[in-house]
Parts: sequence; C-alpha cells; structure tokens
Amino acid sequence: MKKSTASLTLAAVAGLTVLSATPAVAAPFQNCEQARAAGQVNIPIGSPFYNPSSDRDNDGIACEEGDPASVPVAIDPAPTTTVAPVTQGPQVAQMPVGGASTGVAQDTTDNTAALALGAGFVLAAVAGGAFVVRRRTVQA
Amino acid sequence: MSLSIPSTDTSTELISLGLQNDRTLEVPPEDPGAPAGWYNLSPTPGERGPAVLLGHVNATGGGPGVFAKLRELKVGDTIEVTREDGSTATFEFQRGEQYEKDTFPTQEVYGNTEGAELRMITCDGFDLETGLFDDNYVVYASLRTT
Repeated sequence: MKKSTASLTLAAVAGLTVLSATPAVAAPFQNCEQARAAGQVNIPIGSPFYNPSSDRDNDGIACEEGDPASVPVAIDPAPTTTVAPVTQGPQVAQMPVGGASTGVAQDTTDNTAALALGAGFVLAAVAGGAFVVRRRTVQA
Repeated sequence: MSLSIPSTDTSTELISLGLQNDRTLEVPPEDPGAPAGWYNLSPTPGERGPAVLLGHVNATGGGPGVFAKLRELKVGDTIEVTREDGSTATFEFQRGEQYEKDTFPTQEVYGNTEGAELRMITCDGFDLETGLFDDNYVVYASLRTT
C-alpha cells in the first residue's frame, strides 16, 4: 500500500543497501589489492567476498583483473543515513475531482411529506432519513 | 473493512472504490441495502491522513441509503471502522458541512491532515424540480487517541 511505496522509494534513493543480499560477515578486504593479496580476484556475484561497490562495471564480477588496487571492497558496516528525510507527499494519492454522486436521482412526483421551514428551504422526510431540500429559483 | 455508527444504528461493509475515467469518485451501487465504500487511494481509516468514505443518502425506489442519517451525527457520536486485520479504529464526530457540488472544497476535504481522520461523504441539497442532489454533506471525524 502507500507505506511500502514510500519505503521502496527510500531504498532506491539510498542505494543498493537494502536490495543487495546482506552477507552475514562483512567483507574482510578494504580494497581489491587486499582481496588479490588473499587470492581473491574476479569475485563473482555469488561469492561472500563479492561487493557491489567493488564491481566497477556492474557486470557481476568484483575486483576484476586490471581493476585498480584501490577499488574499495568493504562497505561501511554502519551506513549513515545521509538521505534527507522524504518530505511527505499527498496522503490522498490521487485527488478526486469534486465530490461524490451519492444521491440517487428521484422521480419528483413521489415526494413524501414535506415540511416548510421557511425562506426557500424545505425539509423533505423520506422514509428513514432526512435531508435538506434546496428550492431553486428559476433563472429567467 | 466495515463500519458501524452506533448512534444512528448504521452498520455496513466498506467496499473498495476508485476513480472513474473523469477522475471523479466511483460510487457504490444504488439499490436498497447497498454498502458504503472507501476510496482506495486515500489512507486506510486509522492511518495518518483523511480516509474518504462515501455512501448514498437514498436508494432506488425512494428509500433510505446507507448514509441516510449522516446529518444526524453530532459531537459525542462515534464512528467505528473495523479493518482488514480485525482491529477497530474509533473516530469522533467533529463537524458536518454541506457544500454545493459546483464549489466543492477539494483541498479542505481531501488535503493532508496531522492525524488520522475520516471524511464521510453523502449527498444533500435535494432539488425538488430536478429530482437530483446538488450538494454533498461531509462529516469530519478524528481518530480517538485516548
């Protein structure tokens, strides 16, 4: 519903944090140089050492041969929410035009008891309910 | 979802309503006993914002609609909405306003609110000459927080 739309928008703005699989252990390498030193190169997207921030060309392989050693691997384990708070949008997602046609057109000849209240208004009592009747003056 | 107004002995299901092609509100069926509805692009009753509910004031055949007695509501009356998860939200009547449909105050009725509120809309201003309703009657209610 509306709440989930808002949170999805936040995720898209914040980045991949929410959408990417969260490994149970934070990546042990600071950058690809350390990864390579540990024998990790061309890390595929299923590997626990894979990290999207080190996948420079987003092809599912991190720390590719030829990538600069300084490509960071570890992401900040405690991501700071630097995203500005989303200003609240309209609570009614789409404004209707006008009011509601919640009155059934009535055959005017079957009016039941009408009480005159004065100057142009008549209270029409229809079985079980009451509503104010506006007597329209005919515009010449 | 369903709604109950103890003071007018009103009890109804709330069907889900959207917008018609011309972006006016869809309305429930017109036959006697037809339920009221909830505008599904407004907050669910109890969520922050104005939950829009609508019901007919009358029915085909000349009898009362589900919201026939909406005008009788006054301060002190409550409206209870039972939601999909079974929980009930109780709203307190704040005020009722009658508006001409031609000058319907869209922002006042549908605009953002601080807390959880209801907007219950029905028809009013019956014109004897045309047999049509020229106005809407809108009940404003707020979620009871105690």
